[in-house]
Amino acid sequence: MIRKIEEMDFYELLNMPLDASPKDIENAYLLAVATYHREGLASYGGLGDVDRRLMLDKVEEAFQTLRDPEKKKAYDPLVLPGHPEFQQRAYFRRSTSRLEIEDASEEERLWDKIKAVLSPPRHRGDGHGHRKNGDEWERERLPQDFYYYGDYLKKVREKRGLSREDIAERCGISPARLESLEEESFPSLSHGEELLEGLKRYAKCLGLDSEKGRGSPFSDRFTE
Amino acid sequence: MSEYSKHPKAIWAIGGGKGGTGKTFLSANLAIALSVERGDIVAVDADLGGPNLHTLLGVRENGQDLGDFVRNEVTRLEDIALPTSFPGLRLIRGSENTLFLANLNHYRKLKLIRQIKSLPTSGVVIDLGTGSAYNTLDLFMTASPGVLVVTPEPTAIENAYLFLKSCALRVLKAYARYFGIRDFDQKMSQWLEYPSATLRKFMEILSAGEGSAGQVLTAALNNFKVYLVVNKARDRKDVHLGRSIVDVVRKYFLIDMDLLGTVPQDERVNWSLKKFSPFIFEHPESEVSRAIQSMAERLSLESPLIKPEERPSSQA
Repeated sequence: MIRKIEEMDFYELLNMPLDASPKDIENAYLLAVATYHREGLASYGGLGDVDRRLMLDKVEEAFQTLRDPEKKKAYDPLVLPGHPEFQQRAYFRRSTSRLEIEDASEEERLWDKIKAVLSPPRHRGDGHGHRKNGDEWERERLPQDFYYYGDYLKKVREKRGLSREDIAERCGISPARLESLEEESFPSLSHGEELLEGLKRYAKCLGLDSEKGRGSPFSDRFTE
Repeated sequence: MSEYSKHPKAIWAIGGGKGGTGKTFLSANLAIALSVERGDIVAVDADLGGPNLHTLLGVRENGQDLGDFVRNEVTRLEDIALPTSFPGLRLIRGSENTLFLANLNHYRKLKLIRQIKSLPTSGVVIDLGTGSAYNTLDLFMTASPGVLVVTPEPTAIENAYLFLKSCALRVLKAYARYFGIRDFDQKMSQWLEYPSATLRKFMEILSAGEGSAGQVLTAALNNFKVYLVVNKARDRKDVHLGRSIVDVVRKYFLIDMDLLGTVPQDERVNWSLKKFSPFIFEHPESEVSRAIQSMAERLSLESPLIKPEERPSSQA
């Protein structure tokens, strides 16, 4: 069933994601006004006056709501069910003390993959893994609910005083892609597998690779 | 038989209601850019009124053309594909015979479409004529995707919407007939009496009354993929125009439109025409050429070339 224009939510109207910044909201509003304004070229011949005015009214209402943080805060939960992409941003739940799979398909075997990347077998004779130097030690000190999530890698990078450009130059991952990995931005990374590979590569660049443990391209170490 | 003959290929049709928007210019230059990008491209001049793609590609010699194929003087479309001075690009000339349109009846049009689809090549660029005649619309809808060209002028935009509306109705009609939706033609005729009524409104009414059939028709529209090119853009406002048109089309025509690119105005285009030399060849570093190259790259990426060894038939 096609919804009427009046039933579209404000984000659909302005073609924006729920996490749009205030500047994005303003730009989207200006573009929408330019599109549906009486003098605008874009709607000429495609829309009648009644539809055009209705759209402009809705656009104005959307902008007045979304520009106001309080109104936006009250409005967002109302439209959240219509935006499944914002209800779950990752395959894994972070809030618990251990990694849990949420909605990850069996075929992808993501649990196995992430375990291989993030929880490497400990070295023999290493007891409980309480090594006090190198990246192994660092891993032990990681809060259990972080693992190698994008935001954790970001934290490591920032603690080391490295910019995305630094990483990009040394590891051959573009700054834009690094940002996507740090934000775990799924739209620009098509599948979970691609995200995992990207995170793995990024972690390796930071010297957090499970296989090598040490020999990071960056001699400085991250400490919590 | 060529390695491409039995496999799905990319077909891009360049259309748009109004004349003078640069469809042929874009077709010629895009065809060259695509031939560089992926090789073995055939450009088809399907401007049924006044073909001149050959002029823009610098092909001066006469040969057999689409008219000969339509009149059954040539059996295979591939046989009238002429070489051009660009490696990897061949041209099927349009017919200058005034009887060409009269000869292109339903059966022959289907034959033309079928043979375009089976041309042994990596991709086909079809240059369409002005107007919203059924033959033009059907060739546009043969493509995947069609590329709609507009200029920042009210007349061009108005004609582009009319073109899209005609395409949408043709899609709906075909699906309605296939799914046996009763009284569709009558409902459509009633709706057409109100020129200001949007396609969205029509679909809302149809969906409410027809249930799942309405959903099928909506899905058919949603699956109709069209790219937009804004040509002869002069300023930043014209650049934004493309995004605005895409918004109107997505919301009110329910067609899956995306902005392929914006080509800036360049006075040197006329000079290249006078020199019978494609612009992209004359000025490869210009903004116009870069915009076209970037479009070719995107179109090519979205229709990946299937290498013979990757095909199931070659593994058998």
